[in-house]
Amino acid sequence: MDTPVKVRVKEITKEFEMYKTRSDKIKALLTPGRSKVPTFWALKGVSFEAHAGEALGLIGINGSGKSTVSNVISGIIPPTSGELEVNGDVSIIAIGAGLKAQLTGLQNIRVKALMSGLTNKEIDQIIQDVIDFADIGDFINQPVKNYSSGMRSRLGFAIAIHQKPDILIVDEALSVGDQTFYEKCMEKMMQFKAEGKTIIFVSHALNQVETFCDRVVWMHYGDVREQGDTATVLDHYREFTTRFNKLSATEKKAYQAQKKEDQKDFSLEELQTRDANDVTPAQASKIFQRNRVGDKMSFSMIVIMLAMLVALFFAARWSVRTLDHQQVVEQAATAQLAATRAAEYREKTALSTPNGQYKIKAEHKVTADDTLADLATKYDVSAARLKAANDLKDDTLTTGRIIYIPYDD
Amino acid sequence: MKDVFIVLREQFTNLGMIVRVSRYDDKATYQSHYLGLIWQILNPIIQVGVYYLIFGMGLYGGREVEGVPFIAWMMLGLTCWFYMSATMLGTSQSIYRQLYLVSKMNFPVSTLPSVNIVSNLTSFWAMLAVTMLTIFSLGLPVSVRWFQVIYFFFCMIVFMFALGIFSATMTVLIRDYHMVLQSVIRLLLYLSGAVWNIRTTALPPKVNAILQLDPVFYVIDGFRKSLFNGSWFWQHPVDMAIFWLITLLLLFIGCHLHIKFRARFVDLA
Repeated sequence: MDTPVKVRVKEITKEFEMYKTRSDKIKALLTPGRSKVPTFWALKGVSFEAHAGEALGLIGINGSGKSTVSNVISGIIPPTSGELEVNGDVSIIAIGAGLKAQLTGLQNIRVKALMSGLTNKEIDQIIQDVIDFADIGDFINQPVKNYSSGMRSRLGFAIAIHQKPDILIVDEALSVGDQTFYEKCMEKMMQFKAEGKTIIFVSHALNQVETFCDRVVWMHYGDVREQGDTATVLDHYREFTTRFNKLSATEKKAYQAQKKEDQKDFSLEELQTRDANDVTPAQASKIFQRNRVGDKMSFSMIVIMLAMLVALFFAARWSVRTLDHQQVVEQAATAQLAATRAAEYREKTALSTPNGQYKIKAEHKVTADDTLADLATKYDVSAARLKAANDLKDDTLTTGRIIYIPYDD
Repeated sequence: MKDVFIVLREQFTNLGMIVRVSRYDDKATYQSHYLGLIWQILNPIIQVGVYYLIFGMGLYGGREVEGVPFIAWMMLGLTCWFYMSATMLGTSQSIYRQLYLVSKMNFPVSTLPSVNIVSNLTSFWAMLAVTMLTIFSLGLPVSVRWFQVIYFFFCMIVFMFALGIFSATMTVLIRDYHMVLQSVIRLLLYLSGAVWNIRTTALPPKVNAILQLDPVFYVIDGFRKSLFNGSWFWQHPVDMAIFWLITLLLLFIGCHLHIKFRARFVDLA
């Protein structure tokens, strides 16, 4: 084919870990190295291409990996190994997917358009088209949670198609719509094709695939069983389903169990022996290796961060120490200040001596041993002041008398 | 280092989208309320009233703090605090809450914390306006130091983003993280000096010094330094170094975890 390749899927695998509990999953995620959890290979080395202006059908029974491969192409889930080349914007429509249930249809249109980077002006231009295309009447102002599955699919399709993708993946989204809507979508998808865009059409409705798709890929338990022009592949697929349906229930079960077991026992080494001839030796070294999930932190980064941690530690220690020291000093000063203030306050509010000339600092009850000189030294006031404050005529003190000790000037 | 650049580049190339989505978020949140956006200001005002009653009248008995009327001092602290606490909680849940939506489209997930950071700014500006009115009406002096608000605002946004990208990733990986964060934030209201002055001699000096290492305190205290005629920010190089070291470490670890695990977010949804 001469038209440019839009999607190239090469030896893609997807391994799912089958954890029993959620915490197992997180533990495995956070611990380095591989854990020994049972795994399941949803894709076992899938390769196909889709070109510009082509409608590619993806068929297969339930659990064959159609949706998984669609999600890998649209960048939603990362492949475990293999090479994926996508040239252009991908938009995927699955049944009722990616809509916010509590927002109204109109709000959903706007939010999704905003999130895909459109400006409000651009949205104003397309919003009427989207509403017209979805054609769900007054429900456009109702929360999406009240929608029927058909309405959700209509809205989802209308939004996706107006985001002008280069590659459109329709994942069984049309199966819930009625005939009128289906025809409308078909018309739109035909128009897309004519514009040179690529459509990947996932469906169980073989007659739809037959009328619309140029080529078909038949997925079977994680493998591509056959790919080629629509008529041939569909013939073989129909043959298979008729044959399969004729089997007895036990035979069917045994067949399915066998296939599922194969998907559990699969390994990348097995893929390499199987498909080594399909890739160039240069590719082989990389294509059968696991894709790394994010990069490991580089050595220089670890060194920088350790240096920062050490710096932080010392800065914090320095800060705590100086603050500690400063505060001890400050605290002492504050205590001093508080004491002074308290003293001032006491003086201000103290009672006056009976003669009204002095403020009383303290009172002293005279004992037999007390002399005026003793009291003066004890309270740090002059004897003369003591005498004046207490109206004493001479230095003799009567035992039991209350002596007022005055403040200094 | 590459991780940090990837994440930051995604923020700048999608800046227009971030602003538009956050503006829409704001509208959508308050659309079903009769008073609409007024709630963004009414809510904090009510809280300010309660805190003033308890701390201003009760604890401080109407006294000044660091030479500033308590009401102005507290309102400025709370303006920052309301913004930071709401953003810390909001960013933490930003990715988890949208996981279903973004898992069905090709979307730069790392911008979700930024959407929350920008969206919360609306109430921050409103609250700051009320605080400024209060400061003017009290006749506090205007000074050239007010300009350093720009520096501390920058600090606040960078810190919010660093913590946000870290929290958002952690919440998707481990749900309990959000619960822990919630409890910590409840404590931080008191420990970061938003409603009462932790720079007090009533606390043991060691405790006080350790509390002052908190980046949230650095921002709140910085806003107060700027508007209440305190010192210049370069006069405290060690505090500045501590703040930026914590912020950058968070940013590095956050971006690394985000890039490492974001391909698997869908598996965890």
